[in-house]
Amino acid sequence: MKALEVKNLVKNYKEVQAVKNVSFEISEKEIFAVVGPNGAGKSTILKIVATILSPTSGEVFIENENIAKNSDKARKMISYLPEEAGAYKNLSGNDYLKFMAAIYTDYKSKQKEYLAFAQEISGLKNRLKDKIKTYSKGMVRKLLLARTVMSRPKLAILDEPTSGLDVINAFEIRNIIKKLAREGMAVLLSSHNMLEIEFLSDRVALIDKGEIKAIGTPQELKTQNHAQNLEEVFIKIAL
Amino acid sequence: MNKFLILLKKEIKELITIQLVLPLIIMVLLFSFIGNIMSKETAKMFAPQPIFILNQDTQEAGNKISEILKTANFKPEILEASSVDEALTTLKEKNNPSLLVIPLNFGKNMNNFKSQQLLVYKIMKNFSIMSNAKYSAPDKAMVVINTYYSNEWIQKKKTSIEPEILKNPIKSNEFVIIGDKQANIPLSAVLGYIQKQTTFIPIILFIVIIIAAQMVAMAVASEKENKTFEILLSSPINRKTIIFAKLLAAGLVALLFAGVYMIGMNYYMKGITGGSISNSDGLESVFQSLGIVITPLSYILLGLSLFMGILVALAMAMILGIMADSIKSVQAVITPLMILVLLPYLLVLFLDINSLSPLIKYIIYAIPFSHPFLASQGVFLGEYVPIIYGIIYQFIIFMVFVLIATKIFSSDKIITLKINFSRKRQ
Repeated sequence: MKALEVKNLVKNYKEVQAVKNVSFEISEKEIFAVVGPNGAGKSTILKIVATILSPTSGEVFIENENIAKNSDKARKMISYLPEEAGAYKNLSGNDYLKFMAAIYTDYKSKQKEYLAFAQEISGLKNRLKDKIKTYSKGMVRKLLLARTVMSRPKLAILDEPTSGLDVINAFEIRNIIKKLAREGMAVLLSSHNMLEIEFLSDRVALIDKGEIKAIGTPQELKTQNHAQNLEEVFIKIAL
Repeated sequence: MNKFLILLKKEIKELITIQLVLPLIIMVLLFSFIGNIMSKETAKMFAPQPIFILNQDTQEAGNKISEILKTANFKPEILEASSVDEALTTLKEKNNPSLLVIPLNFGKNMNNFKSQQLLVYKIMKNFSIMSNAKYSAPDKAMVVINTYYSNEWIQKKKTSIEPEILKNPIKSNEFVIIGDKQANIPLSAVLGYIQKQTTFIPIILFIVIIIAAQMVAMAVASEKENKTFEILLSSPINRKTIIFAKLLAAGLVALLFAGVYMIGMNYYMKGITGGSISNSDGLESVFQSLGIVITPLSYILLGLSLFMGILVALAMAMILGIMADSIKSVQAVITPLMILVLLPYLLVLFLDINSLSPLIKYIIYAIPFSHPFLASQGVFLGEYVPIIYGIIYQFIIFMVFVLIATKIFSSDKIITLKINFSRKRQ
């Protein structure tokens, strides 16, 4: 079953065409990466799928549900981690996770389940009792990732999930994403870290100036472009 | 020293931002606008004041009083009426605030050097500072008439008269009329009582509305600044729920602030008056006969008007908060709202709105925040119908702004709409 289907997506900001007729699909358990230079339109695509922005034209379906027609239903199936995201600083980590769990489900038992899962994923242990304003950038990012996946969404939309994290924390988070994807969660991912993309992604779309220039598995892209790694592919296509 | 100057220059540059300068410029423009209106009203006060006279004595006595007043730059007008009630009805129709009644035998008794009494009726329609000055015209006229007769008696060397009577041969017997009620009491006593009761109401209204507006604008701006907004918007919560939760939270906190301010103001007023703010020097029954006691209905209407004012401010501030990309810029974006609150606050405090030109009057009525200020005076005058219309109008405006906010929250504008206060760099 398709977790996400993007059809002929166009997004204009006044005269600027940020996304030009983009189409792709993501299956269950699949990690799909959108890669491109700054200003290529990656974050705009992610924001449209996350129902924050509306497309100028084109359609987006999450599990066959058109998000333009039923965004409230679509939001129950997705979870979005923006590139630059924060949490409510005056809440403790636990209170923040409880608050988000209560937003995703009305059932107390489910809320407890989500909370326990997020606590485990975050790895913050006793620090979850502390206010978020005392957290380091890496701790906030881990908390937010835990928040993103706590409800085991059908589709996780992750914009630079390991941005600002040290090597060990980034490694842990990548493993968590991969594990959850194998358990059934589809992932729409954007990152500038080509090693991360290569490690995580089942398929990759290379985007430049709002258009998909190439799409395929990392291996297919490397073969097609006679490249050693995705970084080389990216440079060849972007230049 | 050089480093100090470099640092000083940098600090000043950091402090003088467009967020700081813009509200200042707007405030200057606002105060010059209010000053312009006030100067016109002040000019009216310095113009020859009309004094309406009901003469129950001989024509000669009436003419003499008229002539005395004309020499002091008054515009006396003798009314053709058979009774005080008829004269007052005429005055109410003409929207004139006071009447001087010359009683029978006034002229004859004055000629016989007998101390006399003139009746002064003041029709109260407003408690603003400038309108108080308007009510003082008969008092000034009394001083002029007294001075005239005092001088006349001294010139005629009537030394047998008591000095106090010689200085003020005519006493004034003052009546205050509010609506269809009347009491034999000096206007200053009524005004003192009302001001004791109402001085703090507009101040609290002003503070609460501004605080509520700032709170909700900051609630939206801080979501943007702290980068929590996109997560909230992509969560399974209806956008209307987000709006109403923010509005209600800010409204409740603002009401809490109002309560705390009222307690503080109560102590402050007690300190000034040396006792209870409702202290009325044993004149409660007179004030009750004038209908200037706040009833439960008055409290309900005033509370509703204030609550609706807060709601309108919240809805407007929420839209303005969307335009702010940081907490620092909140002050600048809510400046238009502050003007809309400050303008009626100052105008209602100083002026009788009904005396203004129709254009300005309707502009003030169109501002939804004028109505709580007007209601704070209207409840004392028993003018409930305009207060109810005001509440209905505020509710309509609130719904319009909520619809606009909902529209913005449901569109890209929630992310893209902002006023860029940053300087353009090369």
